[in-house]
Amino acid sequence: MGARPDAFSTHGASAFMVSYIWENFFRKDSSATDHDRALSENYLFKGLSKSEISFIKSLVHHRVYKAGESIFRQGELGIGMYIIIAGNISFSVEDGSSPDPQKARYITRLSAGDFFGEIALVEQAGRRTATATATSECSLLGFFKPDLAEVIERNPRLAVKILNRLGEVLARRLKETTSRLTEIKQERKDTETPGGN
Amino acid sequence: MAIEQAWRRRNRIQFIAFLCILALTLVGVIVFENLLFAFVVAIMSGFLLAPVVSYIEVRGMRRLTAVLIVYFFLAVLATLVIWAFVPALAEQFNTLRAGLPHYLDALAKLLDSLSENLNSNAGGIIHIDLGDRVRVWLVDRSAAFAASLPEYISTSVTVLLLSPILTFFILKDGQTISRRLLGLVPNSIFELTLSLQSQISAQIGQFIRARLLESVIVSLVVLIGLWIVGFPFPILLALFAGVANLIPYIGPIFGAIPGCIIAFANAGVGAKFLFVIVVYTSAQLIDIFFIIPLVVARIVDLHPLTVIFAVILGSKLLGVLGMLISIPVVAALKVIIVNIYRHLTDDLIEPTLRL
Repeated sequence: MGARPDAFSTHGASAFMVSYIWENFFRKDSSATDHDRALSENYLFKGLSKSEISFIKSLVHHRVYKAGESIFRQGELGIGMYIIIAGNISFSVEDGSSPDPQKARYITRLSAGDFFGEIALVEQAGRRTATATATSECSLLGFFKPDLAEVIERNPRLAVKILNRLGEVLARRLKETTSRLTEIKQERKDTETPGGN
Repeated sequence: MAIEQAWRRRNRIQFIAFLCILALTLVGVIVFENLLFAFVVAIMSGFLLAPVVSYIEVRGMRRLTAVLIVYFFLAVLATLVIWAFVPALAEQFNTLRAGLPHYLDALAKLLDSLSENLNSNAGGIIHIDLGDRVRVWLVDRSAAFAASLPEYISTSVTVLLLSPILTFFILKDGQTISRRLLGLVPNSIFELTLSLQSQISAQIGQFIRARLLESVIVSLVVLIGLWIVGFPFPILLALFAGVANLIPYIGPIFGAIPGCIIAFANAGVGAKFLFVIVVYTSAQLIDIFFIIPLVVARIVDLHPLTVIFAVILGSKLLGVLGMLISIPVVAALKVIIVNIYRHLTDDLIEPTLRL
């Protein structure tokens, strides 16, 4: 498509228009391809056909967050999940034991391909259990309760597949939490028992 | 982040274009009042037809195909209705127009006799002349109606031509338009806005469908009742009762007035007059005891005082149109207030406040 418009580095609207005129309109929309890939590689939508992914893509919401911006805060009402396309998100919880209520404890960091907040899809007036903050500029795809309701109404067969996957994700989270809780209980028991290791 | 920059640039252009279209639409709706009515009719039709379109879409059709199928069946239905009812309706309308002076005269006489009774019972303390007042009012209204007839015709033509086109685009692209609008919402309030939008849309949709169902049932009961009694103009009166029923509280009374006047003019206060009263009362009893508790009340839980206040305010601001849209608007405001309250107060318990 020829030279890029770097030579026309004038300011303001004219530069914007020149840049727009030189834009390669025939190039495949890379962000759309990214969304397709992010959705088809996500555990919740894995195994769906191209047309099904395309339908989900028409429902999800693309959001961009700058570094330091919070996606949601602990205690806020949550209505859905996010898939990370680009960037990193860190998670923290307010430390109840700390005298400073503002002091947050870092939990984990998620990056491209990961997803979070899926519990809010099935909870009634569920609150966010942690604060999610963008540590770099982030591009996310949001899939929320109203979108899930729309899938159920407009394509029930697809909704069953997604709900099945969602059930699997939640069951796995429950299993992991139960297993961790058992470990902690065992550790506590061991420390409390005299002569325990 | 080159991908994100490209995405942002493309969206900037889309958003500017979208905002221009939105601004032009809003200016158009405000400047041309006829458009507002066409928009309200289109939105109501959109909410009414959306479940049918979704039902067809579930069967593997594209949304555009589903909308076109619905439009095809509506066209067939409209043709059948015109073929079956319009000749009878036109005949009833012409007969009613011919008999109108007789009915109005009967109404004035009824009011004269009422005034006489009231004045004689009041013992000369007050003097009321209802018949003359109504005659003056009717002359004034007739002059006002004749003056605004071109405006009514223009509104009707605009609504008839524009509403189906607007409804088509609401059904086909409504979700895309709403998604584009949501894309403009700042990140900090995005989830709250999406939640509000979906709740309001669901509630208004259910409310409109319930109210229209209510009107259709009232119309059918009045039509069957008047037909059994052998009363004139059953289709015309049933249609009027159904449309009037859309206005809460005063609508049913308003809808029964023409039937009662005609019954009184034809036979005075006799058996037929009572039969007509029974027909209208039965329709209202079915509405009050079956349709409202089973269908409407579950959808919009508003206090009766709020409903009355909203209807009065709606009539003051936008006339009959305001009375019709007052309840969905108040229901939407209630959803917004309750959600923002819940969002701000971190209230885990459902608010007990009943508006």
